[in-house]
Parts: sequence; structure tokens; C-alpha cells
Amino acid sequence: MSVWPEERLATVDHFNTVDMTINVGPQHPATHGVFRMILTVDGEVVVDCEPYIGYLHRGLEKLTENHDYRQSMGWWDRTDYLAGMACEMAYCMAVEKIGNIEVPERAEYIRVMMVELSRILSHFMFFGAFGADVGSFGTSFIYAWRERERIYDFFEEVAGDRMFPTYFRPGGVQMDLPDNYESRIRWLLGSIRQGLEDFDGLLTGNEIFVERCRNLSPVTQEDAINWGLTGPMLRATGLKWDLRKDEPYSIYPNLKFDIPTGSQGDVFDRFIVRMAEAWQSTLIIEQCLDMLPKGLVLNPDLPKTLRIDEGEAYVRTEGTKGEYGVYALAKGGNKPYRMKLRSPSFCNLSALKKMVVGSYVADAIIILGSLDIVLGEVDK
Amino acid sequence: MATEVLWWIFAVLITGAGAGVVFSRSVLHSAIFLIGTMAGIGAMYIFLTVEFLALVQFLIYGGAVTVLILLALMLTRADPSGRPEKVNGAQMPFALLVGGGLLAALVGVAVGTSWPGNNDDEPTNIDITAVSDRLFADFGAPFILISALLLVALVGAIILARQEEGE
Amino acid sequence: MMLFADPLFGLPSWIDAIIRVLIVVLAMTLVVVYLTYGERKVVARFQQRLGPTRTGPGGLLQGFADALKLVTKEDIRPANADRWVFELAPYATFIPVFLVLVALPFAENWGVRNLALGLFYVFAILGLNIVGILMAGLGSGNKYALLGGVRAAAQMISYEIPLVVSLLCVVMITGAEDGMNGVGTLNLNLIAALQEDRPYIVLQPLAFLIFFTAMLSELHRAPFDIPVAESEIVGGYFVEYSGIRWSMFQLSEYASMWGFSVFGSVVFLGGWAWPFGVDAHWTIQLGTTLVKSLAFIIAIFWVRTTVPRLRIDQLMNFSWKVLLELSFLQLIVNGFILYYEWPQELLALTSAIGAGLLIFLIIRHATTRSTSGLVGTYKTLGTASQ
Repeated sequence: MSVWPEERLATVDHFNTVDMTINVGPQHPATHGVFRMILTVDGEVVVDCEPYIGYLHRGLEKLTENHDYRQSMGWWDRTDYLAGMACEMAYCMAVEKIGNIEVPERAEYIRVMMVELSRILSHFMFFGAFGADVGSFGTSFIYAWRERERIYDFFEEVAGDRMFPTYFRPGGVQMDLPDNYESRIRWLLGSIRQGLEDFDGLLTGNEIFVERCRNLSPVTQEDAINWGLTGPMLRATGLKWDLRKDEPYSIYPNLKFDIPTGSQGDVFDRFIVRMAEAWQSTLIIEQCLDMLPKGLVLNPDLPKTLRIDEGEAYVRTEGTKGEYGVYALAKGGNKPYRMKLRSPSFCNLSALKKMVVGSYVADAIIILGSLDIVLGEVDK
Repeated sequence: MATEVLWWIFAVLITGAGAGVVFSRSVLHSAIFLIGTMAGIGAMYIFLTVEFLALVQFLIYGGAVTVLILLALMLTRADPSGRPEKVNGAQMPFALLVGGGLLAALVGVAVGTSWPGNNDDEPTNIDITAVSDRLFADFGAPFILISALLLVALVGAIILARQEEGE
Repeated sequence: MMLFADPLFGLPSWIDAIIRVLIVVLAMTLVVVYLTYGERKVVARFQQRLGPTRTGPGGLLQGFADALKLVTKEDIRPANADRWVFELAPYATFIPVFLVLVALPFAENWGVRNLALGLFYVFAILGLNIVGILMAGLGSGNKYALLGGVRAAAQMISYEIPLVVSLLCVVMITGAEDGMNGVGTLNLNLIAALQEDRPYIVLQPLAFLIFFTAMLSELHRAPFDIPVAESEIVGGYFVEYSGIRWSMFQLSEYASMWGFSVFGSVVFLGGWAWPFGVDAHWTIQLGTTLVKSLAFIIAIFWVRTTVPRLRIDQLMNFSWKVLLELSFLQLIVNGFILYYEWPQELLALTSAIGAGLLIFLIIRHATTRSTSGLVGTYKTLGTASQ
């Protein structure tokens, strides 16, 4: 072997380094539940990512097939457990569609208000958890918690439970709003807006936050569509796609609101799009309050046991994380033959590997956070 | 008297740590023993009342050089558990030869030199201003030249390392 | 120039030293216990919470309750940890921090020893702190710990240089004071005494900013808490430690925070001398030091609660491409001004311009983003078009 460094270098094709695997989760502070991914890192750079899911699998779809239509409500609350009402909405719409069930108008307005409040709940959870991922030492978490607690308190007044209200019914909602609902909701909206302003001050304007998030894992519109991204993830790329506008359901056609979009599809856009969406939700709720008609909140013609002879439907709604679709098939009896959930978290999560490979370990955590997954929805 | 006792304690510690560097079977342990040796030598300088030198020893050898060694260990080993590793036996004769030769040369120099200085058991404290006068006034030009040389070496090393990555 | 008083009660020098060390250790323990309590309280207020309230009046005994809990916890050592390295690492982290406290002047005659090279001593010894962290990172047999150790080492090597250079800027100025004959000093007590009229932060705001930034980095505090990033590597190098050994890490972390705060207040804020003068009563001097170091500590907490964490490469870039250049620039400008004996106001002016430049660079860097325009405008997205 020659002693000259150039020739020795020539014989070694490259300097060998060994990649290291790091296990992240299922019990890791940044995995938002029980998600697990195995990162292969070269120094600090991620070269491979292998996600593992299923730690929270509860057999939702099978359970639904074996329960009465109304009994299953509670399971569906627990899919996107950060916004239970939004899931109830999709489930009820699916059942109503195959059963041809009418919903009173007042109930529709109440539903939309509750769904938008849930959207705010979910987005606030995102701001808080995402801030913690970026490293703001729990301050963002507590900021988010203030508004979330207030909304949950209101949910408790409305439905008797905080996280899993089981408030919707096929054909309306369980009961009418409490008497003081208008002042309560208006006060809540003010508080929520204040909360958003606080987040603006804490995160949006922070140099380090911007530095960490901008140009991080930008996703093009084409890629986003090919990977099946929906919801804020898709809108961050600049595409104006929102089922509330594009395939209007319920009373959304009567309401005026904007669809905020980003431009680059990077992590910062995903964050700011959610901020704007939460703000738009407050506008929607305000309009609902103004337009809320009087009347019944539950279809009175429904039998005690809901039986649906034949029917097949796919209902998709704009869930808090994206397209929340429910496929329902009935073949008689008081149980559905098949219920299938198209969960946005699951579809968004499937693009994780493509986004994190090549980034730093610290960024991989942020990218995972920016997907805003809920494991209850991923694992069903 | 107390200084003398301490001197012997530290002498034993340093020699022991030095032996640890050579004989321990794990590279990690060797590196940590090396830190002990360096820190012990720094303490020795304090007994000689050359505090400035002692602090430089702590800063450069205790803090920086050994940290670099440990960092290199971390970056190059796939298994972080610190289990003993095989020492390359083929190089042992050469290492012995070099080590023995260096030891002989150092002992020879130490014994053969007539050391200046006072013998009244009271080492003189060298003022830091004297050190800086020497460094920046008397030998200013060589000092700057060496700094420039080191800087060039640093930049060169970065360039070489970058090329290897294909940039 | 020896400002320290004679040995206490005319005792032999070494007994006097031991007594002083004991006092400092006791004070340090008490300070650390109440720093953990203080941090929880201060951070809680920043986060709209109350913090500890149950243990003692206002939760005042929380620190002792924590300590009691920690010493009674099981001391776990992972099976594949390197036994001696793992067990000695907490001590290797703690000893340098403790040694630093020996050199700090808390008041004119309050301190363990008045070292002629005090300033140099402090950062030379603090540099050894990293050895314990690396031992913990390598010896734990855990990959998170390893990553934390690597990050800590890289970060420490990078930020040591701006830190030292920013301190040198101050040392240069001490030489220009009356009665120093153009020779600066490294004696911390003397540096404090020289600031009787105005603290050096007035003359060197840029150096102070660099010092504060590098200090946060050396302490692994937000936004430079990369080696202990909880959301990424779950605590970094001390992830495998529990019970008493973990509390040793905490102890050294808070003790070094306090040590750094006293050090910084001596070098930049006038220590015990400003604003009450060198002839003030020792209680006032001690109180001054305490208040200034508390101000430092609260600033650290404040930063911790409000800013997110940097990424490792951004951290390196910031150190090597911004802080290092600015600190050297400050050093060279100082050299010119002092050599030609230009007025000292010029020092303050140039340094303030430099500080402004630093802040401007950071803000400009963060705001040059071609954004979707949603920032600040989403509330008036306005048309709410159908």
C-alpha cells in the first residue's frame, strides 16, 4: 500500500460511516400519542424513516357493524378525539343519507356551530403541540389549553361531556342548546380571537420560529394531490380545496367564509393556514348565531330503533384534518352491514416518509407535528 | 510540607492515569484517563505557582483537546455502549518502540539539563504581564505567523473534508 | 492590589479557606433549591399558571420536597451502560461548577479566594464541565444520550470562542482605567471595583449581548437547549439517569446558571461596586450582587418560556458566521480606540452600533420570507367571498 495520501484515498471508494437507527415512540414526547417511527440517521440527517402504526387500534369499523346505529355514536367520537363533534357529524350524515332521514334546520345550525368549535379545538391543540415540538417549553401548550378548556366547558354545558359528547343523533341533535347559549358563545368567540392573537405574538412573529419552519419540507401542489393530502396540508400548497365550499353540505352554502391558502406548502404555511382557518371558523359561528332559526332539534318521526332496509352512501366532510369520509352500506336490520372510515390523518401520515427523508432529526419531529395527526383516527 | 505531600499524591495519580490510558481496553476509558492525566498536570503547574500555564492546560487540554477526542469517538463508533474493543495487535511493537524511545529521550533530557532557577523552595510567580510581553512584544511576529499557519491548516482541512462529501 | 480581607478570626489560611468553601457550598445548595422553586414559579406566571402552592406557604418548601423525593428514588443503571463512566459522570459535571464558585467575588471581601487570574480561571474551569456531559452521553449506552453528548460537545466548542472574546473586550478596557497604566486585569474583584462609576455594559453593549447569547448556549438553556431537547431526544445526555445522580445533573445545571449570572454581573453589570460605590456596607454590596444575578436568572427564564429551539446547523451558523465575526470586530475596534487613546464615548458608540447591527441581522434574516401573505392579514382576509 502506498503511503501517499492521494493514492490511498483512491483505493478507498468512500469514507465509511455507519448509520444509526433511532427509535422514536411509541412513548416519546413528540409523537402525539402512540405513533412510532424508526429513523435511520447519518449524523443528524435522516436517511430513512419507517413508521409503525396500530398501537391504538380498537376495531372501530367492526364494532360499528355489530352495534345499533345509535349505539355506535360513541365509537365515532373517539376517532378524531380532539374534535369529536366533527366525527359525529360525518357519521350522522352517512346514516341519514342511507336512511333518508330529514334533519330540522335548527339542528343543522347547531351542528355546524359545534363542528366549527371542534375545528377550533383541534387547531388549538395543533398550535400548542406544534409549539412544544419546535421547543417553546410548554408555553404554547398552556396558551392553547386556556381556550380549549373554555370550549370544553361549553361542550359540557351543551351535551354533558367534554371530549366525547355524543351529542349528535341521526336526525338532529340530542337536545337543544342551554338558555344562555348566545352570550356564552359570543364570549367564547372573543376569547378564541384573543387566543389567536396571543399565538400570533408568541409564535408567528418569533424569529426563531420562522427560521425553523420556513422552507421546511415544501410540498408542491402536484405532489400533495398525488400523495392524497387533504385539509390544511393541501391548502398550504395553495390549492383552494375545501369540501365545505366545493361539495357543500349541511347549511354551509348559506354561510360566508374564506378558504385560506398558503403558497409554498412548507411547514410555516401549514401553521399559518390553520391559524387563518380557526379565525374563519369564528366568523362562521357568528353567522350561525345570527341566523339560528327556531324549531325542533331532532326529527320527531324517527322510530325508537332505527332500521334501514337498503342503502349505500359515501359521505365526505371537511374534517379538522382533511377529508373525513364515511362509507356506509346497509342491508336491513338495525345495524349497518359495513362502515368504512377514510381518515385524513392516516392518508396525510402516509406521506411522512417522503417529507422527512433528508431533513434533520429536529426537523423530522417538526414535520411530523405539522401533519397534525390524531392516532385515534389513524389506527381507528 | 503540605505542598510536598500533595505533589506526591498528584504524581501517583498522574502516573496511574497515564498507565490507565495505555492499558485500559476500551478507547473511551483511555480518553477519560487522558483527561485525568491532563488535569493532574494542570494541578502540578499550580504547585509550581505558574497559574497561567495551569489554566491554559485546563482550557486547552482538559477542555478542548480531550473533548475533540471524545467527539471523534462518538462520531466514529456505531456501538455507543462503551464495551471493550480489540486493540490492533499488529502495531504493538512499533508503539512500544516509539513510546520507549520517547521515554528515553525525555529522561535523558531531563537528567542531562542543568535547570536554572532558585533552589530555596520558593518558586517565583511569573506575572501574566511578563508572559504577554514575551508573547505579543518580543515574539509578536512568530506568534502571528503561527496563527496564520494554523488558520490556513484549518481552512484546508475543511476544504478537504468537504471535497470528500462531493461538494 | 489585594482587596480581600485577612483570614477570618486570624485562623490559618487553609482553615479559613475551608470555612469559606463550606459557606459557599451551603449558600449554593440553598440558592439551587430556591432556583428550582423560583423557576417553577416564574415560568408558571409566564404560562398563566400558579406553580407550586401546596408545600409550605406559597409552595416555599417545594425544593426540599423535590430533593427528598429524588434521594429516595431508585438509582437505576442500564445493563449495557459503561459502569464507571456512567456513575462518575454526574460528579465530573458538578466539580467544575463548584470550583468556579471559589473565584467569584460576591462582595468586596466576600468570596473564597481573590485570584489574580479570576476571569481566565472561570472560563477555563467551566470548559471542563463538558467532560462530564460527554461521559454521560457515551457511558449511558443510549442513542438519545449519545446524540445529546455529540450536540453538547459541538455546541460548547463553538460558543466558547465568542464567549471568551467578548470577555476579552472588557479586559482590554480595564487597562485604560485610571491608575492601571495601560495594563488590563483578569482579577474579578478588581474588575468589579473599576466599574464604580458606570458598568461595562454601557461601554460594551455588543460584548454583553454576545456574552449573554454564548452563556445561554453554554448553559444549554433555550433557545440553545439542543443537547437536552425534550421533544427530540427526550432529555439528551441524562436520559438514563434517575434519582440522586439525575439530581446531581440538575444541581450542577442550576449552580452553573447561578455562577454564570454572578460572573456576568461582575464583568458587565458592575458587580458589587456599581451603583453604591466601593465604600458601601458589605450587606449592600452583597444585596447588589444578588439582585443583579437574579436579574440575569430571570432573563434566562424569560427567554426560556418565550422562544422556540434552534436547529443544530442554525446554531452553528449563528455562532461561526455572526457572533464570532462581531466579537472579533469589537475586539479590533476596541484595540484601535484604546491604543490611540480616543475618548471612551467612542467605545460605547461603536459597540452600540454593533449591537444594533446584530439585532438588525437577526430580524432581517427572519423576515425576508416570500410568504403567502397570510401573516397578519388573515383576520381581514376580508371579502369572505362566497
